[in-house]
Amino acid sequence: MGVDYYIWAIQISGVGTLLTGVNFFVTIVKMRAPGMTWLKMPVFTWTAFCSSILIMATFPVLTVAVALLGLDRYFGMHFFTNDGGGNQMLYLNLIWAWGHPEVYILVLPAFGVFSEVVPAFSGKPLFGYKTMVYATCSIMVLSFLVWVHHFFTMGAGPDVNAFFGIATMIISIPTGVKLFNWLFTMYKGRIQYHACMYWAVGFMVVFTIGGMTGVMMAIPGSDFVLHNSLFLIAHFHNVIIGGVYFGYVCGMNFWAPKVLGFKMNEAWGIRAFWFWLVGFFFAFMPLYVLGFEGMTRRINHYDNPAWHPWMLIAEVGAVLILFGVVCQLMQIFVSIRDCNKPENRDFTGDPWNGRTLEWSTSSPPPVYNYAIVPHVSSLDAFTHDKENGIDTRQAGAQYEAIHMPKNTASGISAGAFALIFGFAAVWYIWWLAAIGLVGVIATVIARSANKDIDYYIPAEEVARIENEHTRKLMAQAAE
Amino acid sequence: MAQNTTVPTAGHDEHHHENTVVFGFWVYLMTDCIIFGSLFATFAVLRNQFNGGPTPHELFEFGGLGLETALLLLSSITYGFGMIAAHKTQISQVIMWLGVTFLLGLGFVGLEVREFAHMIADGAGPDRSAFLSAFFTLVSTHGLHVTCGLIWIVTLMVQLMGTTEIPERMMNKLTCLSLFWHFLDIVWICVFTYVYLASMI
Repeated sequence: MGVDYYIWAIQISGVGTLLTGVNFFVTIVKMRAPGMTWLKMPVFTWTAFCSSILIMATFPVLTVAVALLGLDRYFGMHFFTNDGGGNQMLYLNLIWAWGHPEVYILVLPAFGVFSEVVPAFSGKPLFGYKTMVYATCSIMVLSFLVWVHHFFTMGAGPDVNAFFGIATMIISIPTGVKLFNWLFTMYKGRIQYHACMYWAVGFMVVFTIGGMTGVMMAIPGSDFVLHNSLFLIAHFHNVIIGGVYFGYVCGMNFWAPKVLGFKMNEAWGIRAFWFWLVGFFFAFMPLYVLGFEGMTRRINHYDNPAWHPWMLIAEVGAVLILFGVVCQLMQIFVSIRDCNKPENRDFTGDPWNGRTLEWSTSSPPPVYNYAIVPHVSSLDAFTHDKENGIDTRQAGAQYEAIHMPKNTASGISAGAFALIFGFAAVWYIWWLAAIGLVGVIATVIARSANKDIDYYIPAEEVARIENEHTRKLMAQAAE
Repeated sequence: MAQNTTVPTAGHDEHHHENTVVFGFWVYLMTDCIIFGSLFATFAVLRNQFNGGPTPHELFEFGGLGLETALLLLSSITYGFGMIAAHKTQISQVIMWLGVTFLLGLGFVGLEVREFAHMIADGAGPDRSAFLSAFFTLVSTHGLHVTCGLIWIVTLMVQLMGTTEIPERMMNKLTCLSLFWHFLDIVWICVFTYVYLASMI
């Protein structure tokens, strides 16, 4: 049941991921504000763009890998079986042809978060914007050429292993470019140590260590020793916790006021950071040592006394990380509890002196985002407007009715039927699976037939919402 | 999205917005292309793993295959005639050509199902060998796509019935289906060449 469950869970949620990738890609290609050329886009948008391309290029491969696994299990086919001519390494190739680009799908948006946070809290433009964009794109392309490093021990031969080993090492170059760019952005900046900045700086330390151990394992010879050992476990936690987790918590602290209208509690955020950072080093550095001492992953007991002290240190780290998790939950709880305190509310929509356009709207933004679409003439468009005394919002201008899509229940309906389908398929209840599948198709057809899909927000309503925000801004400025 | 007092007019903006639908669908088709690419790669790896079972020479025969190919290629032409009629807003013509396309597509799927049924009855089902697993999966993935296309054709025929004009949204739907249908033709040419032809030579 477990494997069937994950097959259907991945297939159904994979459809959602793929369609989201297509949506972001088309939005970024086709619907940018006037004047926003490719090299005026915020780096976060670039990283979302590259992640979307990776999603579109690789999730279909995952779909196939998991579908073939399902066909083996449900219909007795022979893709990955021992008998019948199946090939198990085909499964590993397919899963990692998706899986390695996937780690960049995870981390590229986090790189984008840091590229927005570091300039905002250093009071400087991002150092080397163009190199950041090129680095992001290089990582995107190179990420397709490294998947075999997950199984050098397959024995593909020295030529193949050398190619994939070198390709893997080359990825560290654009990644290094990014790190230096963040450091030089901070150099001589007026750094404010907000909770966001703690996560960003912590990331730079932790991720760099993880990246270097990754390059060590990219050497096929040393990977034969380290493959599936705790050294590997330490490495990928090093990059995924240090890169992805730190990045998304950083982004949550940064954009929470924009999304929710109130700032997150900083004290609990900083406590969470310190417990996570210190706990991380205690929990995972010993794993590097244990990997060298021959301890493999996924073992349920060990009888080597030499490993024991290191395991105890790792356990201390795990407890510290638990405190970090508790502090993180406390931060969310306290922030929501105190969300109506005046000092926590974001009245201006621009709590950090932000550089990009989203900070020019109210927090949370109105349903139509921008009453008047801003015209972009430079990078960091909002900072440019602030420095030149331009009102990005064009408050008080002649507003027009805004064309909006109506809310729809189609997505929820299709999702609910897909849930029924998935549940039934896991438990081999075929009549119920048929109902779920027909339900999904019927939902799509009903949506296609629905003509009542859009509406206009009248100009007076737009003016009322905008004027209200202008009044708030004036009151804030008067204080 | 939002309007501007000077540059984009309301009408222009909406037009721009709708164009993204066809572009988005084309991008989606490219991801579908990668699904087929992965299945072709799988077939390439497993194509000689007969496990002592039947080989392509014993299984495939060109007669039915040629007819299948002819039906599908012809259906692309008839869909094209339907699009020409749509651009001229001749709705009854559009419905007629969609109907012809549907029948040709149905013929294709019918022949494919018959071929599969014969093979399975002869003991050459998808569980016989890795080669047959890869063959059935690749070819029936294409067949499933054609079946989805048939459902889509009927849906649009019903939506077109009784209307007197083709609004932009309907034109987008017809255009997307057109892309989908021609795409399946291209995939079939690859299947025909690589799976059938190359295995028989």
